[in-house]
Amino acid sequence: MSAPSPVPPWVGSAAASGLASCHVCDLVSPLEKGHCPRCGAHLHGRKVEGVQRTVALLIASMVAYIPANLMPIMVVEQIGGSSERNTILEGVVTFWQLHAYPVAITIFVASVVIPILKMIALTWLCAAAGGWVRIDARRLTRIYWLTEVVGRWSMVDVFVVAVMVTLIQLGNLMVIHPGPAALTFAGVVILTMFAAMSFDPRLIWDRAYAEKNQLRQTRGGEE
Amino acid sequence: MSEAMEDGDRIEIAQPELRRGRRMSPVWIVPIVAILLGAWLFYRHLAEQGPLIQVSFHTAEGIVKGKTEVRCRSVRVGVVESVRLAENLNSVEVSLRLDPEAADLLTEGSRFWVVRPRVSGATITGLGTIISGAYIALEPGVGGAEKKNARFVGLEQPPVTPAGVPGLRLTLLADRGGKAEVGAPMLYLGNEVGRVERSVFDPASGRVALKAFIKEDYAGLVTEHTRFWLDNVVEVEVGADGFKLKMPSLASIVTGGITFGVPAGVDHGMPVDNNISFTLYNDEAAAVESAFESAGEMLLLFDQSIRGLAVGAPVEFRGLPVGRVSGISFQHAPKGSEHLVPVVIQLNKYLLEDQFPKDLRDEGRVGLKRAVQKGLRASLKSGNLLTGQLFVELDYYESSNIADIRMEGDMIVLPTVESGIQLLEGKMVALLNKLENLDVEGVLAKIGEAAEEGRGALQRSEAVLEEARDAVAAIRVVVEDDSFSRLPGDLRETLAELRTTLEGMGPNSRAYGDLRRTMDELRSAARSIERMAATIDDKPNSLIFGKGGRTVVPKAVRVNE
Repeated sequence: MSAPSPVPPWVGSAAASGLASCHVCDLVSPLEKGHCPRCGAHLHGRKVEGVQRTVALLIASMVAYIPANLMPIMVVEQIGGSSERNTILEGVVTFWQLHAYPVAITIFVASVVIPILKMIALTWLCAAAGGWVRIDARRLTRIYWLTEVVGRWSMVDVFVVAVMVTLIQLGNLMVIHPGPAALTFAGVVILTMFAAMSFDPRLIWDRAYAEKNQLRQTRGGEE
Repeated sequence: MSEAMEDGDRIEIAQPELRRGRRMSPVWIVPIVAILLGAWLFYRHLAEQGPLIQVSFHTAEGIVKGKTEVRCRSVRVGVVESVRLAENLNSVEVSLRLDPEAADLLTEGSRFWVVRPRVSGATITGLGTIISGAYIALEPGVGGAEKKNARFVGLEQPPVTPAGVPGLRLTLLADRGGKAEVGAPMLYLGNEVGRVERSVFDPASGRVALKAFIKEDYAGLVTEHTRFWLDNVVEVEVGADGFKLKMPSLASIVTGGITFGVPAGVDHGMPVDNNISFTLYNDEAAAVESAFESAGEMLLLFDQSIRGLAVGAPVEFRGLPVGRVSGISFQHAPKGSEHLVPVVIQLNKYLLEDQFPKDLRDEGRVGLKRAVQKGLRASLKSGNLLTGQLFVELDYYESSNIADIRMEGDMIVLPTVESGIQLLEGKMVALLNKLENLDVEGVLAKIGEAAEEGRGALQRSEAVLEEARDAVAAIRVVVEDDSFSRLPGDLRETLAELRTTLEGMGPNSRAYGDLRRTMDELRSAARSIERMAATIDDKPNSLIFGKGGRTVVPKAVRVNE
C-alpha cells in the first residue's frame, strides 16, 4: 500500500505522450526535460510519493484522533473551584441532553462524522490507487472531491474552542481553557487535509485505465 | 497492456520516476512521531493514575461520575471515577481515583463524606457547593497503616471535629432524640468548649447516645460529678418581682446547646477519661435534682388530705429548698395511726449544708429534738394556688403544743401541724356560706331608702345650718360676756373632782377588778358554748350520750339464745 504500483499511463494521456504539467506554473512540457522550461521547477509525472505520503499522513491523523477523543477538549473552571473537563463526545451528549439538538448534531457531524468519513475515504482512495480494491473511477473522484471540500469543516470544533477560550475569561466566575484534545484534534484536521492534498487523483484514473485494459485483455483471451 | 507496450521508450522514461517513488518517504516521520507522542501520552496517563478506592455512601446525591472531585482541605486530590449501586441495593459504591501524590492520605482512619449545602441549626455549611456541585471530602487518618486500593465507608454527616484533634470525647445518654443536633455547642458558663459530634439512637435501650467532644484545653472541666443538661429551654419565671424570661442563645435554641457544670455544694471529683457516659438532663433543675443525695429520711403524718402533694415535691425550710418528698404510702404508717397519711421526705445532703441551720444537721439529732421542742413542725403549703400543688414546709410554730421527735423504724417522725391553707380553706368556706346567706337585696333596698332619707336630711341640715349660724352668733354673745371668763376656773375644779371619781374606777380599784372577772367568766362561757357547739356538730348524740363515752349501739337480739 505504501508504494504506488507501476501503472503504465493510458494512451492519449499526457503522461503517455511523455508530457507532464508543472506543479508550480501548470505549463505542460516534455517530462524528459526534468525541469520546467518556464519556471525551472522539477517535473513529475505524478505527485511525488503520492500514495505513500498520503498513507503516512493518514496514519498519523488516525493516531492523533485517539487522544483527540479521549482527552478533554475544553476545561471549564467555574466558581467554587470545580473544573469541568469535557471530551468531544461528552460535549455532544451534554448538548443533546440539554435538548440543543442542532448544536449537538453540528458538533457531532463536524468532529466525529466528517473526520472519520474523511479517513475512511482517504483509506479507500489509497487502497484504490494501490490496487487493493476494485475501482469505480467516477465514484472515487466524487469521494475525493468530498474529502477536499468537506474536510476543512472539521476545523469548526477547534474554532469553537478557540473562540470560547478567548471570549470566556470571567476571572473567578468562569474560565475556559483549551484541553489537550484541542491540539490533537487540530492536528487530526490538518493532517487529513495534507493527506488529501498530497493524494494524486490521477493515480486512480491510471489504475482505472489499467484495470479496464486488463479486463479487455482477459476478455480477448477468452475469445 | 499491448497499447502501452508500443510506446516502450516512453515507459522507460517513466520507469525511473516511479521507482524513485518506492523509496521510503521522509513523510513517514510524521506518523512515527504521532505514534510516539500518543504512546507517551498514554504512558503518562497510566503513570499519573493514583490508587483507585471504593467508598460506600448512603446516597449518591450530587455525585457525578468524572466530575465530582475528591478534596482534602479544599485541595483537589482526585475525582469520582464511577458510581454504582451496591449489590444489596442498600448503599452506593463510589469509586474514587486519587492523584498519585495523594496516595499517602489513605490510611486506616481516613474518613470520607460528601460536602453539600447543609443547613443545620444555626449554621449553614457547604454554600459554595450550591454553584460548584457537591464534592467528596477526604480527611486523612492520623497514624494508622497505609491503606491502598481499599474500601471505605463514607460518613453521612461531616465530622464536626477532625479525628486527630486532641480532646475529651464523652457519651451523653438522653432519653429522647432530637434534643441536641450534631454540631450543637457544649457550653460551660456560657462559653463554647466543645461540640456534639454524633448522635446515635440505640433502639434496644431506647436511648440516644450523643457523642460529645470537649476541646483539650477544657477537658479538665468535666469531672466525675459533672451534670449535663440541655440549654435550649426558654424559662419563664414568675416571681414576687414580676416575670422573668430566661433565654439561652439563639443558636442554643435551634440546635440545642448542652451546658454542663457541677451543682452547687457538690464536690467536683476527679477528671474523667475518654468515652465516659453521662446522663443528659432536660433542664438545669433536673440536673441539680439529680445531684440529690439523701441525708436521711423523715416520716410526716398528716391528719388531712394530701391531695396535690406528689412524690418529688419539694421540702422547704422557711422557703429554702432542702429536700423532697420521696414517698407517700401507708406502708410507713405506724400502728394505731391509720387515720394519718404518712409522707416520707428526704433531705438533700448538699442543700442541707447550704440552706439548713447548722444546729439541725447534727448526727445525734439533739439539734433537731431541740428545734422540735422550740416549735419546728412540718406542714403542707400550697405552692401554686391555680394547680393546687402542695409542698412540705418546715417552720416554727410558736403556738404549737409541746412535742418531741420519736422514731418509727429507722425514720424520725417529725410532728406536723394542719397547714395554713387547710385552715384558710375552712374559713373561706364559712365566709362564703355567710355571704351566701346575706340578704343583699334587702340591704340594697334599705340603702335606697337611706338615700331617700338622706335627701330630706340634707334639706333639713340646711335649716340646721341656718340655726347653727344663729347659735354661733348667740355663743359669741355669751363668750363676750364677763361671766364666761370665769368659766375656766370652774372647769378646773370640775376636772379635779372627775379625776377622784375615776380613780375609784381605775385598774387598781375594786370595781375594775369585778368588771374584769365578769368579763373573763363571760369569755370562758362563750368558749365552752363554742366547744359544745363543735361537739354537737361532730357528734350530735353527745347531747344525750355524753362526750367521752362510746357510741351506744343497740345490741342485736341474739336469736340463738
